[in-house]
Amino acid sequence: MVDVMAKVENQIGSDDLVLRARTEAGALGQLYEMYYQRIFRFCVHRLFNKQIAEDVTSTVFLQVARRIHSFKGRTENDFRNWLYALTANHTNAYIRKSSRRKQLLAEVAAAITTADTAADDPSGPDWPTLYAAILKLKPKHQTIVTLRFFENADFEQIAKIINAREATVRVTLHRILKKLKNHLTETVDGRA
Amino acid sequence: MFENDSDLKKIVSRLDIDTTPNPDHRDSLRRQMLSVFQQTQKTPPHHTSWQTIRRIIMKSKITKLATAAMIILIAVLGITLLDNAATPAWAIEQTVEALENIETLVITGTDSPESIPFKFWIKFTDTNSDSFDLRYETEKQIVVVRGTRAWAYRHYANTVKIYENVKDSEGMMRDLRFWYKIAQLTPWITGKVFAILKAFADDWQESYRRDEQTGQERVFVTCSYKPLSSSFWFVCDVDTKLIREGKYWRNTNRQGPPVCHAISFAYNEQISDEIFDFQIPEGAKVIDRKEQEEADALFERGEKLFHDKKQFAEAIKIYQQFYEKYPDLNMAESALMMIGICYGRLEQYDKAIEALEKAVHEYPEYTFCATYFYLGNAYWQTGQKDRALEAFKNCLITGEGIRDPKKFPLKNAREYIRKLEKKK
Repeated sequence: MVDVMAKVENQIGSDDLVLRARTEAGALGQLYEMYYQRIFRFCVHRLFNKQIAEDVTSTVFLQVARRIHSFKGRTENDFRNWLYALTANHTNAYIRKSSRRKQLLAEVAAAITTADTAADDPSGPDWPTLYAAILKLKPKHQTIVTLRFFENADFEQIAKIINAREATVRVTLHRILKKLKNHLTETVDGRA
Repeated sequence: MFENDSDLKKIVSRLDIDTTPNPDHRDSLRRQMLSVFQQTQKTPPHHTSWQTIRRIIMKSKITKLATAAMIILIAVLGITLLDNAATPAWAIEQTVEALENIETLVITGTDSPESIPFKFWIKFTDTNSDSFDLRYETEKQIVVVRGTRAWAYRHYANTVKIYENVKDSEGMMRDLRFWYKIAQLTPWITGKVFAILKAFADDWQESYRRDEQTGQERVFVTCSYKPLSSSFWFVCDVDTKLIREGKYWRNTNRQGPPVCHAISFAYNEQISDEIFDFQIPEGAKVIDRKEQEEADALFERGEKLFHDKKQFAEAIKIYQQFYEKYPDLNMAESALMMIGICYGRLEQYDKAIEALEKAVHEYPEYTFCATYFYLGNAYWQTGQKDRALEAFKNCLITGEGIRDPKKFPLKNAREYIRKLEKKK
């Protein structure tokens, strides 16, 4: 009972923090500390480049600061889903611009060229290779892959973040994995 | 390459991606964000002026007539309602206020899943509510706080943890921290929790009736809180505004036996100071704070290897070290469970079974339902269907009333049981 009630008490505290963040800078600051690392990490996984990840992370949190007062969510889960949705939108928007996409691909290609024998590792591709393959997917699919495999989000969370049904996410992921496998095979064969 | 979801997860877990943030960026963004936030707070949202509204209404005959009709209707209704209005018999804020005048409180009740009786005493030692003594006792454990010192005793392990300054104790045992925090707010399940519940709970309902035994008028409240899959029932006395009884469920519709049933509340009773004296039982092992902190740090290392780095073989070594060094701590059960999970990830199911069976046999009172789930899974993987079925059923039994039946591991255990019983 006490473990469960402790969780109730903690959860109520977290939800209370979200509500207070609408008007209290201290509460917003606490939420920032809780989520900065996660959002930055998500951006690195989506954008490959840490400096660009910092820029997008900044854009996200500044938008939170402008919009938190009208945020309709009531719980920490609501806040987390909203935050990830904002981040996914901003990272997709960044990548969609063709010149930026080319810049990312160029960086990835350079990283692949300078990589050691990672591509020969039978356990799987290295990060630049995997990233290049992910980048060939549609932006929404890239988001699903990042949330599922890099952020370990469950299907329910992913569905809320991208505003889709859970069943749709499951089916889509199945198709994405097939495409990703093909892209990876092309990349590895191309280099060989 | 990879065949499925799990294969790709394994590949990702082995990647070396540097996601370390720049602390300067973190700090400067925080300042910027809070500055933007302050600016937004100063600039009120745009309001449509009354003059604009008046212009819109007066533009056409229809809007003028409709507005006039609305005003008359509101006036009539307002007069009617004022006549009928009565001061509500009870409001949650009154309970919050009433609790602030309490100096001692004794609660008796039962904790699930075995309906173990508990008793909880609290005495405020001066008018400043930050200073109090408390004792929480069941047949399994005793928790005592006296001033700033605290003791937490577990019967089954015959161990005592001592905290010299309970306010600073980061590593405080969870149940001690829970009861201490509850007491800090004001006596048990205080106004703060109730006020938040009322603001955010779903289907808050109040009903008034006379208590058959005492003849006193009582208000009965039920509500649920979906984010935590919880529901509540409590009774307040309309005259004194104080809580008389309460129940808590780990589902949203008050089904089955409650996780906790606080049966009686006694306010401002005389409590002897001896209740808050803790005598270390004979033969009990005293675990001091330093040892507890070292244990926590070691367990944390295992957790980082497992969760962050996915280095399961390395994690096993750390969890094994924890189990060998601290077999008397209840987290030793968690360490054995984690060893079993790690072996499962490495697909060494026989070793997984060995570790998980050990957890179940050596810590029967503290076995998590998840331990049974992973045991069932390991038996399933090795084709031992009967044992798998037994383990999944034990998962349901130990998890009932504690874990959400719609989520892991109870939901998954039921699915396995369905498959196994179909094959029979």
